[in-house]
Amino acid sequence: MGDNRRDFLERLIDLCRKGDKRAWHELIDLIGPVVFNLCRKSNLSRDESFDIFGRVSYQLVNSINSLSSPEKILSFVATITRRQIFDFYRGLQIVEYYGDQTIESVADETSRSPHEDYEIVKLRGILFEAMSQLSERDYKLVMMLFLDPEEPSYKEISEKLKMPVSSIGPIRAKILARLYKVLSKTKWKFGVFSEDFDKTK
Amino acid sequence: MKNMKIEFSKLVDYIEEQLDPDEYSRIEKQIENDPALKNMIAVIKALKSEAREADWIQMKKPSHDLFDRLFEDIKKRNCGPGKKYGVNIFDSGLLPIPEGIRPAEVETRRLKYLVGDGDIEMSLYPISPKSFELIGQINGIEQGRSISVELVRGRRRIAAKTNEFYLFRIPKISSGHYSLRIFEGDSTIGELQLEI
Repeated sequence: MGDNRRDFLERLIDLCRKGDKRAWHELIDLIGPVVFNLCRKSNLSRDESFDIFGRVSYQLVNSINSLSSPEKILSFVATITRRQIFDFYRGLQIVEYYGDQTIESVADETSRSPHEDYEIVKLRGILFEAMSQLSERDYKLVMMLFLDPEEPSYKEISEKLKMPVSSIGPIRAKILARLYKVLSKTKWKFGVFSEDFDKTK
Repeated sequence: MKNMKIEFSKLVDYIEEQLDPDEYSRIEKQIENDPALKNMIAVIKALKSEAREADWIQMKKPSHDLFDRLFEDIKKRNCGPGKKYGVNIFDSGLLPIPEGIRPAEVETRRLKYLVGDGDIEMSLYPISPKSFELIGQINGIEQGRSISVELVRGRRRIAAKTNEFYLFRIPKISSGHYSLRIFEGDSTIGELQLEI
């Protein structure tokens, strides 16, 4: 893998450290859905979630220089978000009243259990580590194809990434193959699917 | 599943749920038999659905706007001594009005700043289209200290004392850009910028 693709996140974080506003916005676009999603799962209102986002951003700006593994940025953000949510509930004195399991037991409208959600957060970290080995263009293509809530059309993706619409299909397949190759070497030993993994070892 | 070639071009359509039922179940079998592939697809599908659910489309602009303000505040704070400069971490005024709600002048705006080792929360209540009542509370200061605030705009200064809970109230201020200074006795212990 060439230098260009290897360290996209590292370069992004580096630009953030230098105070580049566009890089920060790009990083915010990466972490924002994680923060708001965790807040939603913890039954926080929109205002409360925005408050948590502000506190997480504050911590992120203050710790960006000491962040040693840029590829683990999402896991880092998920951890500080959970901590902030916990502090929020502790501030309401709900945690003391119901015990430390409060955050985990907060009603969740999704079909996944809190345990599964936690595993997805961990797996997400591994996926993003694998994605950090893609080129910048491929990384952005994965983000736009699978992780952009605005679900841009191929035409929009083509314009943003300056690539012909006809090449998106073949490239996306190649990227998935590349991700698969990286992930196959990684140990997905934990997770919601770890039992299946162990059976086939 | 090692000897079966994975059809990555079909996998994308599988994730997008754009395969016909036969193709879908054929690809699903491929995935079922390959744990690494199964994990990868599961995470991508989970992230895709999370991205849709996260309300990020509505929250993106307010988040960028808040971040820009917060970032500038942190830069200013780092230039001065003792973390005295307040960092704006919440402003309900940046949030979009929920669908179906008529924009109203009576909407209360709430703000939060981190100052020193504590924080300050403020609410702005409209009393006319261009004037507001400001009520604030300073948190994180030990009890029994003499804390006051001063709102400054140009040569105009409005001072207010805090009560035992460090609550303060400024009954009427007009729109504009202000500095809010927090004092313990004669010493400034905090300062923040406020756009009303």
